[in-house]
Amino acid sequence: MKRFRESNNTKNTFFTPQTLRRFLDSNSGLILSLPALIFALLFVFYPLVQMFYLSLFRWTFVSPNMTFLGLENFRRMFLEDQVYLRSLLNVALLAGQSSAIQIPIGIALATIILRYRRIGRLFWAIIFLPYVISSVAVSLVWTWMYNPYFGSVNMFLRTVGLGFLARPWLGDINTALIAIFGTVNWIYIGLTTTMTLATLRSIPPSIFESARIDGLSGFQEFRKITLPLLKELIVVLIIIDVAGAFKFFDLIWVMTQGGPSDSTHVTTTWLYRTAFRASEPGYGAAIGVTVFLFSFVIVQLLVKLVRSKLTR
Amino acid sequence: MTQPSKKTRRTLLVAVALVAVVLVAVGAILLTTVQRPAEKIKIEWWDQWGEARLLWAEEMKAAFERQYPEVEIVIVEFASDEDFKTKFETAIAAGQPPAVFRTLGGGVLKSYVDGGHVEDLTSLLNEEWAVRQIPRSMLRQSTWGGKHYAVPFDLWVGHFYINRELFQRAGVEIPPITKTWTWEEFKEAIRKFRAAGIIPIAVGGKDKWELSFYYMYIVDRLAGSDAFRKTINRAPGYSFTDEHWVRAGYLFKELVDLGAFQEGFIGASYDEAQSLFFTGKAAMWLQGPWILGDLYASFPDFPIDIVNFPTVPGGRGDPTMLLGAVQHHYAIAKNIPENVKRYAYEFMKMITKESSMIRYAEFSKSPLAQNVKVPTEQYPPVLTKVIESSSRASWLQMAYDEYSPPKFAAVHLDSLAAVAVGTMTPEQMAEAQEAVARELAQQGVLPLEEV
Repeated sequence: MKRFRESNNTKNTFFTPQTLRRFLDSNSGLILSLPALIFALLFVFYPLVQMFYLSLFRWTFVSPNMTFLGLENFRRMFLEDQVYLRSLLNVALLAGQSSAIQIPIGIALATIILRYRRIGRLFWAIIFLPYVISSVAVSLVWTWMYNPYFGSVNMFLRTVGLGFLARPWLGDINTALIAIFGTVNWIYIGLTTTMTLATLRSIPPSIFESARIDGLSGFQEFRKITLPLLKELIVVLIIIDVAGAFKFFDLIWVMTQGGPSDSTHVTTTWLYRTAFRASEPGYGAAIGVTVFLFSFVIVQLLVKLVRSKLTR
Repeated sequence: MTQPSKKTRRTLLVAVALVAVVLVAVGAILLTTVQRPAEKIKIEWWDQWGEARLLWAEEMKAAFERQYPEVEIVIVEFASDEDFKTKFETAIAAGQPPAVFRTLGGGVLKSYVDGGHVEDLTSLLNEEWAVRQIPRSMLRQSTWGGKHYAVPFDLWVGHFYINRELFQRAGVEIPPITKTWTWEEFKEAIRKFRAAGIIPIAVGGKDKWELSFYYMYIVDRLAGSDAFRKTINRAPGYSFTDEHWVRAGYLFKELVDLGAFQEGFIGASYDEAQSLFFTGKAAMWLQGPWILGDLYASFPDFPIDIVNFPTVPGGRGDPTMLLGAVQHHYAIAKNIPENVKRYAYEFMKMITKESSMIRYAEFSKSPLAQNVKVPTEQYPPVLTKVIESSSRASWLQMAYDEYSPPKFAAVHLDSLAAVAVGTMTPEQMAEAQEAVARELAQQGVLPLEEV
């Protein structure tokens, strides 16, 4: 057997089991990731390139003609399109308020849940529930809750004597965005709490025990030990909030469609509205390009920040 | 035999992965190229059906498949018009259009026709039976350059649907359908409803098209039925900045400021407005006859009636005119295989037959756009009233957002909502509409027709 192989080898040096084997060995990484890579190229990379290309044109989906505009779509977006600028502001507000409200509350709730373990487990299940429900269903339910005639929000305010606060939440240009933020926080606080819980549970209890032996009070323990240990998590949560704000769509689309009077648009809802409602996919793609670039740059910066902070 | 070394095992793994990749690739190629055994010819039929019309569609499907067992009609349902438009345009862009599809005619259909996606049905509609059954005036929304592109099925007209009981409670007299409120009488009625603690008018402002109903009626009452068609088609001497366009904005705003609509109407959906009207919280709702199907399903004894939209002071428009149009048409896609298209034609003929049309009227409870006598006992009395009223109309004004190109429609709807909220003045709205009309004229999208 061995002899046969060797003799074969001398005749044909190009394709032998050995060369095949060497090829497979040296390229194993590439080959093993090939299936995933093909899908990524097909469904992520190709559409991305297509989007960049489309953003330079004026086109309607059904027309055979595409008009090349150069960077006109981008000029119009930043210099003329008030709604687009407003939507950028709304994304910033959404990311900012999510980080500022969900993270502290999430950490506080997680700390409480850990302290009162028995009730905490049930409590945790309850506040995590909204995150598991389909967001369209949640949005519809909240739309009815905010309804000024049938809604439970105003009814509740009136019963507890805060009737002066009752208003058409989603039908008022001053409160629609706040109402949406309320729903967003209701959904995502459960997630923040869960992630904090997981992190806190992975900290060895001996650290807390020794802190107590050293005579730290509850608050001191939280400030000096828990919080520093959660630093990494907090940055991750902020990244999730920022990236999430750029991707946010369904809840706003169902609850207000960006209204009243375009005051609650985020970049994605405005993209959808221009591309599909006003039939300007070129302009929609241009918005998509800016969303891609903004979120890419911001998340990269955040990641850099984390790395430099954490390695120090 | 010795244990295979780590290296051999890894090589084996890599080889298996490679084989898997090749297999998947070969499979994918086979799937797309190899002819599968004789399958039924599929005719996709797309519409935003709704419950009642879906039943009709299923009946048609069954009848056609009985006659042509080699064909399968695939009924595809969409939840909303928006959903339909998005999927339809994506399907066209992908080169896979449905064989038979619903359209509302107007600017949207025109853009599909211009793109070369819609079959020319002129010869079908000029067949003897079709000339007899389908009035030529009903083809207006789907005819360009003398060619017909769709078969009209039913009509809609806009009236105030009212709750008789609430009118009685507030002491507001119901004007007969042959008469029309003056603007003052209308405002007086609104004040009476408010004094009685009743919401005068329910409106779903989130989708914006309901707001547009008011604006369109006011424009027509002010300047007559020509105004919109001439202005959007860029007839010389017509501009959206003309005085009546601005005034219409102010009259609409007057209603808003008077409290004619429910609290927070601008954020309310169609469903929320519907609930206010159906549950007797609001006295009026400006809508089309499509609300009747749902109304009778849940509230069979509802004290329903209809009232015309009021006239405005100094208006030149004919008050018998109604907001309305041919609503559902069916069309055939141009770029489908010949054998599918042949059956699509047969199918179109079958669903347009007189007996099919009568079934359509029975299910949909909507007025037909064809000369087909529907036994009146199939219609609720208020619908008979709607049909009579529409037969008296001097003009049916198609909704702006359906008649015009999508980009104009978006600007029109967005600015009107902004006027309602007060973030835009009627003057700014007029200018915004004129600016986008000019832009579209420059791109050659407008005019849609010669006027």
